[in-house]
Amino acid sequence: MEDLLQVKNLSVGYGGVDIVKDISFTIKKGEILGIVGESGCGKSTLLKAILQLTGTDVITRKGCILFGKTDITSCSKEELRQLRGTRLGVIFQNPGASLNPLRKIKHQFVEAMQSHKKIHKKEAYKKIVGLLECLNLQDGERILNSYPFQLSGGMNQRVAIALAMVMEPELILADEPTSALDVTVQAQVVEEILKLRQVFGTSIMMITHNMGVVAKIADKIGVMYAGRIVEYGEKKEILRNPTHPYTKTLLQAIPKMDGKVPKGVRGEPLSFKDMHRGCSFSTRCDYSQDTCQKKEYSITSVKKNHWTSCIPLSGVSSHESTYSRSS
Amino acid sequence: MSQPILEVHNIKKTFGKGKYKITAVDDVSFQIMPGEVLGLVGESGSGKSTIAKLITHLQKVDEGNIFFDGKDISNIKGKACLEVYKEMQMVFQDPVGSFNPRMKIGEAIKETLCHLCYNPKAMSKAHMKEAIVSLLKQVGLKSEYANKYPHQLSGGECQRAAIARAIAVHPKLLICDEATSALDVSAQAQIIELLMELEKSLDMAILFISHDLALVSCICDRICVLYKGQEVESGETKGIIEAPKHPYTKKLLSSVLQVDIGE
Repeated sequence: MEDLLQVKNLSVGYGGVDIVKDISFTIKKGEILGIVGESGCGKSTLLKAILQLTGTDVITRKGCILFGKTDITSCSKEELRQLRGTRLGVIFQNPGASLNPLRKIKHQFVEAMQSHKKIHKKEAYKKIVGLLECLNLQDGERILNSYPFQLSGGMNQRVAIALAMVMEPELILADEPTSALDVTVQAQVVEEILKLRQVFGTSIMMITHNMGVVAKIADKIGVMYAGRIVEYGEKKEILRNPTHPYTKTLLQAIPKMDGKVPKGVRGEPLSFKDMHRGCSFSTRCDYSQDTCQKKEYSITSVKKNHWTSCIPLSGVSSHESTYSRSS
Repeated sequence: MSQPILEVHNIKKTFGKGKYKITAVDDVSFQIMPGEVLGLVGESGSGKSTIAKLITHLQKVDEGNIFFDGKDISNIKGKACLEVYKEMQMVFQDPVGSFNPRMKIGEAIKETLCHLCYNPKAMSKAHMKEAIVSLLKQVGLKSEYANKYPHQLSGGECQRAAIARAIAVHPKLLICDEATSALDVSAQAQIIELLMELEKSLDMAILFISHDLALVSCICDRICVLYKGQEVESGETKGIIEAPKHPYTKKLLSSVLQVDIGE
């Protein structure tokens, strides 16, 4: 399969501080990548960088983002405008706030479609109703004539997903699309995102803090901590053999049905301003050794489909692991 | 067995009039024993939060009775309410929103202390400060957080502060209305750990309201499942998780996204 999105050694920051540091990953056609991490680890900044949302003061310092064959970081404003919406779709966390409260749903759809393509309103409505049906919203006509506040959170989120899908983009970037929803609706929305992938073959980059969602939806997982991807690989491999202590604690934090109280990571993440030398997780890590405070390991391969930045626990001695991830 | 700390008898609450009438809570009854954790589960709009508001008198009940510690509190007003708040406290969903943004965390806790616990005139400033710091310590926050504003804290830290404020009066009952829903999974686990610790050390009962059945099943002794304002199933946690009877409970159980490592 061909690579759709390639991010290479990307560093992004606000002001003088780097938030996203040296991140590389690829998304193939039709693949779902889940990026997991707690609040404030730079997940959303990464997404803003990929979209080059310049109004948000996000500055790309290093690296490149290849989407197909175009480098997004060097696109002009007009090129970006054409790219966003048609080839890149976004779903934001808060569906109520990402829709315009003053305009009916149908106007928002038509605006999104007509800014990219000449299309008659009636034709557009037909297409939208079909898409909404695909998302289990049977009552398409009524929804098109509603304002966002007349719909429930789950319906709004589905409308937002349909809005992102309406131009059939190749890649959808979803920023915590299910976190504001309750568990029942969350499960439905996850199912529907999976169904969209089946129907349209869209690639998805899904950002979330919930390992449960990622375990259900993703093909590949990237675990982010303090602006770096600390573990990356195929879903099954990461879930079965997590090597980085942070991945393990994230897995422990999910409430399970076995009656045990979920375990949290002790302490709070460091603020980006007082990052010190060495592994940034070492202050909260149960397995922290002396070397961890001195040296930060770059992410290296332990298996064919598994990369980690915790070398001391991966079973690979550090001089062996010179093979660093190239793709 | 001892007397239940909270008894709710057939409470009913409707909003609106005529064709806009909505029955938010319809004939719900349950009780909580001292030191027990009861989970109230249901999707958005099932009436969970309305029940919490009825118990805490943020809204009045239409029908039915609420007994707290043996006293009927369904229609009390004014000072009698304050007396109840000395033994019953609530933690809300949005941690940052439940603090006054222009008040420092320490001041917010002090307000509760002055209002409900101590006579502020009889207490020296240093003494008050000590009380605040020890409360913050209890929830795992450093003393300097007393001088911070709510927006300077992360969601998890702010929820800790809200818990500190709630336990300031040593309540017999703590009502947590979706206390962890706005937090990410790791912060949620921290708050849950803290609540369980406090429940043991302070010996308080907790009414834990949530939409996440998995989370509720981890920490609650008993569960009550709500659907459209009605109680559809209730009982011991183990019984509900292992052998759910009502189709809605089954649906809730199947919505839980579990990390399935085997295969």
